[in-house]
Amino acid sequence: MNFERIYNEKIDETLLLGTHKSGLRVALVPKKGFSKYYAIYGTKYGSIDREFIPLGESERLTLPDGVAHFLEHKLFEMPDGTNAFDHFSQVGGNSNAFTSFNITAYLFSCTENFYENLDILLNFVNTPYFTDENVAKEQGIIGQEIKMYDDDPQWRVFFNMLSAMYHKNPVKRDIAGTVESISKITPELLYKCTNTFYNPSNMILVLVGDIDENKIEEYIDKNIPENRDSGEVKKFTEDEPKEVKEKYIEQKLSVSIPIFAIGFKEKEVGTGGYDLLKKEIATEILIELLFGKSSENYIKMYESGIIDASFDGETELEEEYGFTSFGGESKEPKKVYEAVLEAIQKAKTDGFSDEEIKRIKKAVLSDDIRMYNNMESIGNTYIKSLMKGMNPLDYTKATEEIDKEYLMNRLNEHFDTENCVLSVVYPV
Amino acid sequence: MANIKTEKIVDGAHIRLVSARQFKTNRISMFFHIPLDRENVTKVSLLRQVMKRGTKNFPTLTHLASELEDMYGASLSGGIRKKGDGELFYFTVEYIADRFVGENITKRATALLNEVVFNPLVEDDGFSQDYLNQEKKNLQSYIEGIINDKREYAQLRCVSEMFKDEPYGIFEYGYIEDFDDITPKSLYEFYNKIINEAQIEIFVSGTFDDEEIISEIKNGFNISPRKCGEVTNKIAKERDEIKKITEEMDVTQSKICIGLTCDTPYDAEDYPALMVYNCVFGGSAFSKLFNNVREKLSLAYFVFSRIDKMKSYMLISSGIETGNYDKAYNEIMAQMDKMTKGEITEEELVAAKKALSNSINSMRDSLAAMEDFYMSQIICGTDDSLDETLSKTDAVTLGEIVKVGKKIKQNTIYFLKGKEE
Repeated sequence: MNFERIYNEKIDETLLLGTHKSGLRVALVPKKGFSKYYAIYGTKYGSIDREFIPLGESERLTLPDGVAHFLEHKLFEMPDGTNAFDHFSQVGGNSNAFTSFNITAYLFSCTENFYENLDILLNFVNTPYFTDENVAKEQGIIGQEIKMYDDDPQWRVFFNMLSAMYHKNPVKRDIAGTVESISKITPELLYKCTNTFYNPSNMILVLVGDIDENKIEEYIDKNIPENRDSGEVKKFTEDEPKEVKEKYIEQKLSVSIPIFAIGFKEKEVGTGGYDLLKKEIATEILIELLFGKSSENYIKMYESGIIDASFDGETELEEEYGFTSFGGESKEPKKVYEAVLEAIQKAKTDGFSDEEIKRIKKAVLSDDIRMYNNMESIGNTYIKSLMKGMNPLDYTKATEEIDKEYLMNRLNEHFDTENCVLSVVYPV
Repeated sequence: MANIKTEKIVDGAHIRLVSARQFKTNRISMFFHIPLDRENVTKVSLLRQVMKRGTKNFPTLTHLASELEDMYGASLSGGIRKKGDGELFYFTVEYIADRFVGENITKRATALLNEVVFNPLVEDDGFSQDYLNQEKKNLQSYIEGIINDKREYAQLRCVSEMFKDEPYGIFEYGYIEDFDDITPKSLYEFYNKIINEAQIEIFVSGTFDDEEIISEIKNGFNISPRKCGEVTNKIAKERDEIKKITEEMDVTQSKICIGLTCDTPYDAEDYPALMVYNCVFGGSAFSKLFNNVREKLSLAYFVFSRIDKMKSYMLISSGIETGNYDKAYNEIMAQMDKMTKGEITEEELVAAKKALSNSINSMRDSLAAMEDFYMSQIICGTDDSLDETLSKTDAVTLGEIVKVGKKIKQNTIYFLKGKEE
């Protein structure tokens, strides 16, 4: 297996990129001086992938909500009745997994026996084992997971925001589904999903630590047959209107104070790779310029008492969808909403000073550098970026390229005060 | 103490240098170690908020935030951390190491920490009235907001019931009822007391020039010698009868939380056995609680146990269906019974030791974790290095686990009861 070596001198970090003969892409981030190793192995398959043609069939299939996440839980069970956690534990690996809108990923960290742990990771993900009995058992466990989130106001305010923002895109649906939707899951359905989505060219393996790149191929060979790949997955999404579905949504829960999220919907979807990376960084810079701790808007809202230190902004931009949200706790969420819209309008007229832009760019660049302190952060950032066709080492270059004009265009395009949502969770 | 260099500033104040080149960042933290007491706890909590609002030379949040951004995105945090019957009141500046930005940020970071701690914004012998008022409101909404995270809330309630009327039962973020008596002047007087009397530990971690940083601190920081009254710590006491508390709430999932006393202080010889015990019982994804309460009986999504080193107690926490209370409780106790009977496989023992080795070694990969580890060592007066801690847990035998397990006694059961289906 050959690796291309990419080096970013400014931050002193290297990335090795290669493709295994099965079609699996492998990224290695060499790190010396740390105790830990980290590996994350993921498929481009998440909660938004609900309509597709299963491998070897010709008809479209629509999945009940929560299948990708259900599958993530189930893969840990091994055909011999054991559990992957138990295998990891014997060689000191600490394993976990997560399902997002567009990725399902399996991971471990360890401070010894890296290659043994890697072998277990590749093995368990590639040996699905589903039975009526083990599926029924998981419905109970995930049922409790869903109920835990039902009581979580941060989670609810966020998903309510998405459900108001989107007409059709499945990003509006809860990742874990509902107790009712997961009751429809069968072993047969799960096999259809692993056969279709867990094929090597739809997956990426990211390894972080003091690792010998020449040793990796042997473990991939052992666990992934060369002819396993079945090419590109045929999946479908309905067209999503550019406008938000509803501008306001609320719910009542046992909370002490209203919790809010203000969301802006991305209208210009379909970008990937370097352009998307640049767009992402520009959006992050704008969040800071508009409402960062050094901004006039932040201090005004903070001193008038309508926001507290919980106020925060974040953006998630993908090829198929995107949004930016500002959230926190407030006794008067509608006032925050008005203040946020007003501040955005004002910025569109007044612009930003060169000094502010320079300062915020410094801060944004430092977050990227800081990320390289932590093995898990590196692995998670890399797998998400690579799935979107981005090279994380381009972060420095992309940030430097962003100028005032680019920022103003992005401000006008993305922060459309006519196309945003206010979601509030009020106390019962 | 290994891997760490100590430099005395004056009596009661030290600099601890933790050198580690693999990180992109440095941290400079200043800790004040004080007792947890009901009279002052709210003042400490407000102090950390007010001091972060502005200083003489950076009088507003905007000034402070701009300075931090200009220092290549440095961060300033101020916090409080419970450590047994005492608490740490601290400020940290974290920043990108000088070699990545080509500037001496270390000097600016040290100066900023000095400014925040020793040069606060003072008007008429007191803190700013506006800042104090605003921060009282913020702290109030924070305290009231604890209930928004039901899992955290249940654990907190369990601990406060278990240690009621003891220092450890005090809520470190303070009490709203104390607000009225705290004025800009009284808070400033309290500030002066801490600054002049409390034990000070300054941690510098990352990549830096030892001599330069020592001289910056010694010459720049106005630290006078101090006696530092001793902060005492007692381990959790057994209770004759289990205390049971049930609280009803309009929630979908109920939470059960059990507090137990361990009677095994951190400096006892069998403390490493308690660490292994916890890992096998409920502290891991291969634990008895995980494999039985969750995997076998599907009663919960999360179920775990953890131990507190200084107070020597265990907390078991799980989210369940309201009607499954008895089932879940009985299963948790059945698993504990297996531990006491020594029904622990060789695989479980191997796994637990490896998991502990993994988590102990992983501390070396985080400046914040190392700082906390060494700070705890200073408070406890122990000086085991990470390697020594590792070799002790590795030597633990099945017999020792059983023995340490027999000392674990139920103390308080807290049930956050939701709707019945």
